[in-house]
Amino acid sequence: MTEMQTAPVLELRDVTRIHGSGVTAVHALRGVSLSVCAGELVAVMGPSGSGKSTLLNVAGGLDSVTTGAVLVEGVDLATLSASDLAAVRRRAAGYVFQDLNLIPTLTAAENVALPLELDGGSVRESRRRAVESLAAVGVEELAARYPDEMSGGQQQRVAIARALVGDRRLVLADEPTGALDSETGEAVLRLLRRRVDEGAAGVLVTHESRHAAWADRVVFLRDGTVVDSTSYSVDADAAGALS
Amino acid sequence: MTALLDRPPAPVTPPSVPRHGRVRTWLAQWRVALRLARRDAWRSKGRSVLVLLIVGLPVMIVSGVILWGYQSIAANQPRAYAELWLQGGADAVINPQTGPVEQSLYGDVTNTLTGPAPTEATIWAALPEGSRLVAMPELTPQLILENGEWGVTGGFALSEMADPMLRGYWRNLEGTFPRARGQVLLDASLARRLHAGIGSTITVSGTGDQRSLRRDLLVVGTADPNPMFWSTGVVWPGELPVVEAPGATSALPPVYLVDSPTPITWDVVRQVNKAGAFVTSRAVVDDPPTFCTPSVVCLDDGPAPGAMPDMVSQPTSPDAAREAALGGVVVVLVILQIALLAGPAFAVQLRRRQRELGLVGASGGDAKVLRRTVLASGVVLGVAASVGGAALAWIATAVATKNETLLSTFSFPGVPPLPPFPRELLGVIAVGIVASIAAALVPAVVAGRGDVVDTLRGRRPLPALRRSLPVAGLGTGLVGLAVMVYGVLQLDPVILGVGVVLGELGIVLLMPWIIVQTGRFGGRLPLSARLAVRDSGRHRMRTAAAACAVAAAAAAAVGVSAAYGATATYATSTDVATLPDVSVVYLPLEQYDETGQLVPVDADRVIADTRAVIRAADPGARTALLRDVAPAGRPQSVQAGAGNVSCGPVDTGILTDPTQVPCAGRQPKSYLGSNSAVVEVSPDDLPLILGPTAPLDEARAALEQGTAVVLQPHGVVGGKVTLTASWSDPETGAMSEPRSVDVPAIEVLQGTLPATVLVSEQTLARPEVAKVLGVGTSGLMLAQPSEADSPDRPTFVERVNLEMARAELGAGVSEPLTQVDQTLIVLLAGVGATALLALLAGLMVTALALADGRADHATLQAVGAAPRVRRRIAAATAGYVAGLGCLVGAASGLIGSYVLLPLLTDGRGFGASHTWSVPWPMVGLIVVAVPLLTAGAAWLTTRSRVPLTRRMDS
Repeated sequence: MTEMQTAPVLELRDVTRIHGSGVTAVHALRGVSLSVCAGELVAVMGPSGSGKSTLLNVAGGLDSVTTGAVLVEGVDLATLSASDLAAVRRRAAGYVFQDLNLIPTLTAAENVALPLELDGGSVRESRRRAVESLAAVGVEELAARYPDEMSGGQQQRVAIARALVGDRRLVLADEPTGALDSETGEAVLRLLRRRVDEGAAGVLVTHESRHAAWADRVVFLRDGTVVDSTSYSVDADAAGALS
Repeated sequence: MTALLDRPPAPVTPPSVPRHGRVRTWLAQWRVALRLARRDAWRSKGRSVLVLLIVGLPVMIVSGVILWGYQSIAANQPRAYAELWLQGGADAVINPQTGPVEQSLYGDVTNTLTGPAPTEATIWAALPEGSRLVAMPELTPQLILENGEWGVTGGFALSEMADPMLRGYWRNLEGTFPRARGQVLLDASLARRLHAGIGSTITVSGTGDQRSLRRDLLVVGTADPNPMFWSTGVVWPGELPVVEAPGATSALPPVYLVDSPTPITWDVVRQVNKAGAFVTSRAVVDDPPTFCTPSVVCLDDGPAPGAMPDMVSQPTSPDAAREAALGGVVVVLVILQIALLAGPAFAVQLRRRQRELGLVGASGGDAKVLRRTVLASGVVLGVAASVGGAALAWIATAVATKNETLLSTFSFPGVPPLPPFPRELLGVIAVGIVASIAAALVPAVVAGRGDVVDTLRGRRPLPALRRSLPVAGLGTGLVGLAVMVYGVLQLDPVILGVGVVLGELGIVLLMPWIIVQTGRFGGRLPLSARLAVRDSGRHRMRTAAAACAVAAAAAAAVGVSAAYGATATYATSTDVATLPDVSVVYLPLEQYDETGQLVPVDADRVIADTRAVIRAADPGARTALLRDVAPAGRPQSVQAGAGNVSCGPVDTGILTDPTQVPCAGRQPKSYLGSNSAVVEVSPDDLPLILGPTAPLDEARAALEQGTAVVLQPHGVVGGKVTLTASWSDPETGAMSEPRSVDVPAIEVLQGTLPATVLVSEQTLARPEVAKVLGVGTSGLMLAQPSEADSPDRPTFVERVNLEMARAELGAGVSEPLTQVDQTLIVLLAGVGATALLALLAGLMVTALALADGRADHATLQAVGAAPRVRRRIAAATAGYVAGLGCLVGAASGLIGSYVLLPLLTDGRGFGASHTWSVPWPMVGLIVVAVPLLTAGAAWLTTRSRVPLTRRMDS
């Protein structure tokens, strides 16, 4: 395990998220506190409806909190407007979803460059950095291909490249291996692990313990509450052997 | 790649600060949006083609109309006439005059100077060496041509037609030119009227001095003549008597054709001018000198001193502003219609691109970026459709102008080529692009408001209907209706148009509420219909857009039908032009001598002779005489009306000047011609003039007493009408003080003529009237045959024209003013257009609904629903959308047509409402048949099974 930076990249402070009101109110998160530092991969596990995805959504500013605070790179997301939250997603936090990650009408390089271009970057510079990011995940040769010309694993690699392109240091992955076979899934997790080891901070939502084994820490959610938090000391290869 | 830990953390840029500057970020985001839109359009070809058609077709049609207008304008330009002259293939056409001349480039503006008259030698000397001159043939006078009972008048050219330059004036030759005496080549259209063809024998007879002439000629050929050839056929030289052709001098032929070994340049033209002839030169037409503009007299190297530049008409400011405003209203209406039609397609696209938009949002695109991503589709498709539509129109027009049959509608071949790109097309293209963007506007707004999380997960929570929306819709609609009524009362088309736009916007805003209300009854419906109605209610955006598009078409169809019915009913009861087979005979009451001076004419004799000629053609024909009333002394004009209100001739049903009293709704033709709004008639002629439903006894009694009969509203004040006469000095052109006289009058609002006041001989004989008014020098006669024309004998007009030629009367007869009953055409066109739009909108919405409800259909299938249930749902969805749109549209169309009624029925106020009725056939077809047709189409085109797949988590 690499040495972690001390300042957390992501910090949730007593976050509560309630959907709806009155008798139909749903407490998706109840007083959740979590911090993730650079070089740290945190897995979030729990049964369906436990709030895993909601946690991921509030972490990247896709959803707002009812109470509490979410800080990304020290910036309290609650103080930001919708446009500013979008800017956070362009510059600081990247998402990887279970499937349908890529825009079908853009090539791999264009998908990866998307946050940079939306931030005003030139085509040339954005593409250059996108290709760099693709190379970092080992799929540089796919730069000119469209998503329907790639396998599922390749698409997830591209999605990870997009999540970390540029200066982004926080990757938020929501069951990234859910639509992949085990071998491909392992490869994706290995890649994610490596990127975290290189200095990113990662939050991995999963419901499979063998995938959680790739993480430095596992947080267990139930009914929106953190019920347990465990640190792993087993290295990645061993985690792979366990699967 | 350097590990992240090795790099220092990037400097923190506050999220609110654009990293690369606002403008650059804006441009970059639009670049991404356009890229996504372009590629999505390419991937969804079917949907893209649909939008391209909806936007591109109107652009293409309007562009085509503009370009065709350019051609028709060009056809009337001097160059077009020059091309007509040169069509025979001559290098130049020369018109000798009485002395040296000056001319414009194409010879349309000319000056004849004092000097020696030209001779053939002097003209020849001015031409390049080796030139050949061919005189145009001599002509016969107008003769009578008969083939059995069929007869027409016509004149011939006498020529062997050996020279190719002469032959070049005849196209589409069938048979041959005459090769000997006793043979004739006929104008093809003349031959058809004579029912003669190649091998027929026609009889040619003369009139006047040539009364004894009678020849039988064998038709050996037919062809289409160039109008510059001045004849309707060709015979052998010496076959028939010759008349002096209308040239400037009797010493030389009026026209020479020139075949030259070298181009007849402008320098040569000037030499010939100095010799005493005008020249139309091929070389000058093809490559005019640049030192002169067309239509100014041009000398050797520049315009003549004092030559006026081409005048560009400057419309008066108020008229120009009003026309611009009216144009703006029309443009807004067009944009709205296109946006409504194309809206469902963009709504479909929004739903299909939802995941993509979610990914853009997750990648850092804010609401503005999401809106731009959707709007960019409108831009991409709008540009493609508009530019493509305009280009297609240009190509089609360019091809059509090469087609002689098409061109023959307004010109001979030789119309100049199309301009490369008329500026007006830019405006049309811009409107198309704006309309496409407008169609994408609502989906863009919805996209911007969407929740990224819901979008990524494919959830689409039901948006609450804003309470303000139906209130705004109702308010806007009522305001629109009020504005329409005000516009009609003010006879202001701009205000009227604004009201129509507001009314339509009101329906657009109200439609979601209507959908919600109709959805409440869903529970009482069978399962399939219930699902369809509730699903349509959940997805109001797509349903409302489609229903509004259908409503617009239905409103137009029902409105036009109701209005047409009202005007047809009104016209049938009042307008003499709809009396069957009424022709207009233009009386030759103004005749001029060779010097152009007006010669006195025995008007009574001319009128009597004309009646006699008509009765010779048809003994049972009825006639009615209308003579213009002019100021006594020097003629100028007489106006009628109350106070300062004048009633002038109008050629549309909508007046642009609110001070003008509406006095002519449907003016069949401006055949009265003069400025006078008063005509003298005989009381005995009233039945033919006013029509059968007018109060004839009352009108006859009034005229016999010398009382005027006023056919305009507001013309009679206190039992009198004021007639105002004005004069102008023929030499100075100065206007005299107008003089008015009050004449006792009654108002008759049925039996409308374009003229406004009927007076009789008794009226004009009143001393106070006689001082001011007199009988004018123009007039016409209405003539109605005793029985209808039939195809097996010459028509009434043909017989009258023949008798007029025999009597050398010189009168002209129009074809009958019979109106074609277009009720069926209107019905079919209206239903057809509405059905097409309903199908389009209904099927689009159905396809979207089926795609959206795929999981639900899979569930239905899994729980045992029969396959036809899916089809029923599709049919119910399509039928619901079409039915809703047709109902709303029919209602608004009926209201609109009633409001417009005064404008369409001679502006007689709402008192003409007795002619308005609900067009039940049209309403029935629109409201019942069209939705059923749409539902049926959806049934037929829907698959009954959907593959069972894992349900998407929602």
